[in-house]
Amino acid sequence: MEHGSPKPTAAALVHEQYQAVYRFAYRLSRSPSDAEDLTQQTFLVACGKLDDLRELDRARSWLFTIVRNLYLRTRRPAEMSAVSIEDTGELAADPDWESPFDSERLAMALDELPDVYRLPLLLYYFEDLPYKEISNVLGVPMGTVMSRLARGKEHLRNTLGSPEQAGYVDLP
Amino acid sequence: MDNCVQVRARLQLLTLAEFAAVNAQEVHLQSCADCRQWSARALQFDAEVRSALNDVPVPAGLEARLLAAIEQATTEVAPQDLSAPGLAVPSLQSVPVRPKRFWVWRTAVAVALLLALGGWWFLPTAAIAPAFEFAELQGSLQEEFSSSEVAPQLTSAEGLDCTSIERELARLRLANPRGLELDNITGADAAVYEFKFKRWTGVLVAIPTQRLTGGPNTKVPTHVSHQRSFAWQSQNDEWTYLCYVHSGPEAGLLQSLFGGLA
Repeated sequence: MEHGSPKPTAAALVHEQYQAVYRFAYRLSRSPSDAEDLTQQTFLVACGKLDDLRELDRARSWLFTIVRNLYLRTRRPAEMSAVSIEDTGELAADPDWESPFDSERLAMALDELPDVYRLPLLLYYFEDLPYKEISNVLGVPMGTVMSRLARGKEHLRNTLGSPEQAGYVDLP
Repeated sequence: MDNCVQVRARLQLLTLAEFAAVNAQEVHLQSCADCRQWSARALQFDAEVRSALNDVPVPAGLEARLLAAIEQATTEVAPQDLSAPGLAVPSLQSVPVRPKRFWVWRTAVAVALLLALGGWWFLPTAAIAPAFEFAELQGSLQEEFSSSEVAPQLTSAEGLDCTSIERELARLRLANPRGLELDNITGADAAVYEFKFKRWTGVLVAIPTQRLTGGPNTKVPTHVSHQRSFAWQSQNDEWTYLCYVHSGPEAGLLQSLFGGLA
């Protein structure tokens, strides 16, 4: 859709955003069929609320919010409870593995993370939400978001390669 | 003057876009090689993670399927119904309706008994909440809802508040509820939803538990032997659900929705 056009049509919204929405849904649900289902539900909801979309350049963020809410609504409380990130320690860095950003490797690293760490990461990387907003979305204090994001990133770094390879170095 | 720890802590609180924008203007970075290196690597890491996260193949034909689903929903469901998340399937209004015949005998017997006893003035009291025997009802509804080819005559579901439908059931794409009269006296006694979920289709019947005797007495969806259906009560006991599966393996639906509880 073009920026500034008065009202997007459902077809234009789908055409421009369906790939991004599907990718986000896939990363949330970790299942192609669930992702397609989430994507379809998202656009059906969105098309019923097109009038709510005031700023067209925020369409993607708006759609991601719908995806995320639909996903969270289907999660069982047990899946959202805190789980120690140490439980995911099986994915230790593999010294023989050379490409730190292989998407399959990243997917494995993400899939191994409990929702409490994975969701903040996805909100941060996909939606580019600030900590405060992630805190509101997940209903946890900002300090908790910060620590979960830090630990989630640390897990990714450790899984994807050495800190130097991954881009971070310890503070002096 | 900021030290390395303060600068890095501040930068890490920014969104990706803010980090990239601020990074170039951060005075400390211009004089600190370590932090400059840290910042560059952090930005590179984030960019590559984001890129890798987006490396997801999109199924062929997805756009066409989405457009078809939207078209179907907008032509068969009233526009306001689309405002509710997850509600996006054909309404039961499009289901062929066969003449009502199932409850006629029940009504006739009830009226005859009342008149024979000369107690027709008790009708209002009796009409408030007659109870239905669950096992009998289950068998009767099985005849009515076991196939998508038949459907009993349905009325408005007005007065049946089924909005407290279970968390798992929210994943089903439910059509608008229609009312089902069980006794032809008190109006709609149960809400009937056509549903669609992935490869499964079927009908969900929600009956106020207080209208039943001998109900399933379990909150775990329980498979009805020799039938493509299962029954259970809501977590708050308010509703009793009967789910009739028309397409797709019922065990798979249970597994997908409830983790194979039954």
